[in-house]
Amino acid sequence: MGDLLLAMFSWLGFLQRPDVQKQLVVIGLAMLLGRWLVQSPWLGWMPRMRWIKKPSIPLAEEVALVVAIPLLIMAGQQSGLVLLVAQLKAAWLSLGLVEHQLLNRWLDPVTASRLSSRLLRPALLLSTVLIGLDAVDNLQELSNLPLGRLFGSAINLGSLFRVAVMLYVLAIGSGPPATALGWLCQRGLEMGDGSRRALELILRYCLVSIGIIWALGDLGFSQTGLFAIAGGLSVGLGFGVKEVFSNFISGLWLLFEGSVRPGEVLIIDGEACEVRRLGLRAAVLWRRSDNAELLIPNQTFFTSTTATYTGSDRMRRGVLMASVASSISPAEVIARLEEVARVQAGVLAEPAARATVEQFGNATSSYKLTYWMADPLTIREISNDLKLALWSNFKAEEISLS
Amino acid sequence: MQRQTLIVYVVAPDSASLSKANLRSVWDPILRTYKRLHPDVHMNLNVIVFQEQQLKQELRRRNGRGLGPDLLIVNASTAVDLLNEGLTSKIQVPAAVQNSLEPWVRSRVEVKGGLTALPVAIEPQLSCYNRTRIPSPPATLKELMELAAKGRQIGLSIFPQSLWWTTGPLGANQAIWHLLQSQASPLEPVDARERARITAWLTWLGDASRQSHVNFFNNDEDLLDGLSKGKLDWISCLSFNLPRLKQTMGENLGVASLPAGPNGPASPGSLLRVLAFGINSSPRTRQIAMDLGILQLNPLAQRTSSLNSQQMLPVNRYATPPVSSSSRLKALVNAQEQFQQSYFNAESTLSLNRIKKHMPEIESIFTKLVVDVIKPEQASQQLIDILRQP
Repeated sequence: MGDLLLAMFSWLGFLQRPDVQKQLVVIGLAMLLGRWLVQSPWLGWMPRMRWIKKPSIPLAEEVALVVAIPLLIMAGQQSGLVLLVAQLKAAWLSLGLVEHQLLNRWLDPVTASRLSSRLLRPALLLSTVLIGLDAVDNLQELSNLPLGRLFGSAINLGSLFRVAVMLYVLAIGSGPPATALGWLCQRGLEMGDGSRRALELILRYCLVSIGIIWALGDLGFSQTGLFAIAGGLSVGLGFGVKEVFSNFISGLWLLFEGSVRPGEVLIIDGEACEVRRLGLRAAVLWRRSDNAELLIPNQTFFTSTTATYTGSDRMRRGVLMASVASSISPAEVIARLEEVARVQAGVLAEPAARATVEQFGNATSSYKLTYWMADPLTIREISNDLKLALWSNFKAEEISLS
Repeated sequence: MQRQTLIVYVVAPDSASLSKANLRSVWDPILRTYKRLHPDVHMNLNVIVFQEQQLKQELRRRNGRGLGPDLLIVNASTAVDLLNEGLTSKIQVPAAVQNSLEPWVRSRVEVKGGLTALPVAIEPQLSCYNRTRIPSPPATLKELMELAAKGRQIGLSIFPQSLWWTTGPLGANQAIWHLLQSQASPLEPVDARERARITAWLTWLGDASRQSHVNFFNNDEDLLDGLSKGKLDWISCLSFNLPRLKQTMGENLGVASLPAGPNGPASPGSLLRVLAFGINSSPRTRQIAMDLGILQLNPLAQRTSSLNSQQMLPVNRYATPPVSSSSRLKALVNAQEQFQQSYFNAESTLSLNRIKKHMPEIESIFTKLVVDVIKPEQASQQLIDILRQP
């Protein structure tokens, strides 16, 4: 660690050099000039400039930097540092252009934003830092700088950096390959959507697990070190992290068992909810009625009874109670109820809707209409539409629906 | 108190050949002395290691940004190249300092109006061996081959500069120098004695390659690795490899001068380490770099560096290496004497530069010879053709 601090401190020595000082002043002036040109009303007064779209501040700064380079060369001064800053700035401007012109056009906003903030921008930031370090030092040498020892293994800057980047890339970038493999398996093995999503998650967990094992190996952790970590975890499991570990194991178990998978519809507090994600600690469920997302610890599903509409198939049965005047013959009422349900959008033709007599009364008789739908979450909409259709059909006979 | 940072690049064939601890053992006493002389300056030294093949490109890039080094520790021939390409700057030192240098050392760095760089140490080529397998080192090529016949593993490089030491014992070195310096047309016949000496040398190489325990390698790294891991028992090495070998072999590492032959002593190479000066330094850091360089030439500092590093010899003719306290330094001195005996004159440096561009072709001839694709006579003719090219 001492060597690293010494190296970092020595980089400040470059600031004592006249060549570096001059270039830093030029960079600062170019930035100020670019900013001033865009913000100044003077730009608008120029008649010819009105035809040109007003440039952004970063673009104006970039132009000012690029213009400064030949001026420095003509003055016989060093310009490499200005060029480096201009190149890095150009890279960031290009990324902005890619985000606006390509990502936002081809991908949905959420995916584009996620791709940008989790992969592209961190990658460019990392490259910028590495290029900066390479300018003032030797990356190969820096990577060999020792940071200390951990569980008997010597850790150097390079191995720690490599491991951190690989784990980040695995955690963030394992999604697309897992999705592609899941899609292939779904096509080849004729799996359902839920199974595909479960397979994707398991693949991601496997990749991240392999990554962690590789990372520990790459850092040169000895067996003693691994035992020490395992020992520490055992104590931790007994106290603070018991719940976390329990949820993690429950999550893995549920995935393998296939009882709670993304896409499943479960009944939570009497309402149908769709499983969106099965995370390491908790599952995220979506409740359609109020568009709420519920975060439910995995062990809840493991230890309590859960009703599902998507265990063996995705069909859901709806029930509608109707009271119709006893003056109409039951056969006619049953036929009309079944006919209305048959033509109703969203109600499945097979199994067909069935109406039965529940109770005869003096004024009204009770009927029960059972019907089936393909999507368990659409029961509210279909039930509502069906009630409206029945009300229209039985308007004259005074129907009562529940 | 002024705080100054000196950026020093150390150029090595590869980072494995270089021990930072060893560098520190050379630099720390000099920095301490400097601090005593200039208590108002707080020095911070950042040593960065670069490989030789990437050096020019890196320097061009870094100098262009104003972020180049203040000092470079390189070979004298590299320093000349760097100065010719405008990547380092010429220096002027006081006449007394210049006169303190060994004459042959001075001739390697002198240019019109100054020096290309400031010489600081000599690192000769010698033999490194495993003392548990070879109790006493071979003094002649015949003894070397006898060791191979007894089952000791001998490692030789086919890299021309590393193999040059074998030309002296077989008398081919003078013949090659004459050919390199000759202005004769390639069509003129070659002196029969010179051709015979070159052929005799290549015949010895061919014969050696047919011995089952003599191994040829196409890079020095494999030789060092072989000796460190006990796969080889005897190799030719450069003195700057000694710390690395010592680290793995400990007291089993033996060091001696290279074997002689029927026509004379070995003709080892010798690296002249110099301090080249960067072009981006501020006047203040340039002055500090120069002061440090001159301090390093002080006879006492030169002796201390030799003793601490056990891998380099002084360039100051008034500094005598303390051979009585170190057998390793004695071996280094013997190797350096061999080098100076086989060193002809300053013009030979130019010839060396002339030969540089043909190195891959010469290496290819050696490879074909040791795998028995061509006979020594054919190899001799091909080598002569190359040496006579303008």
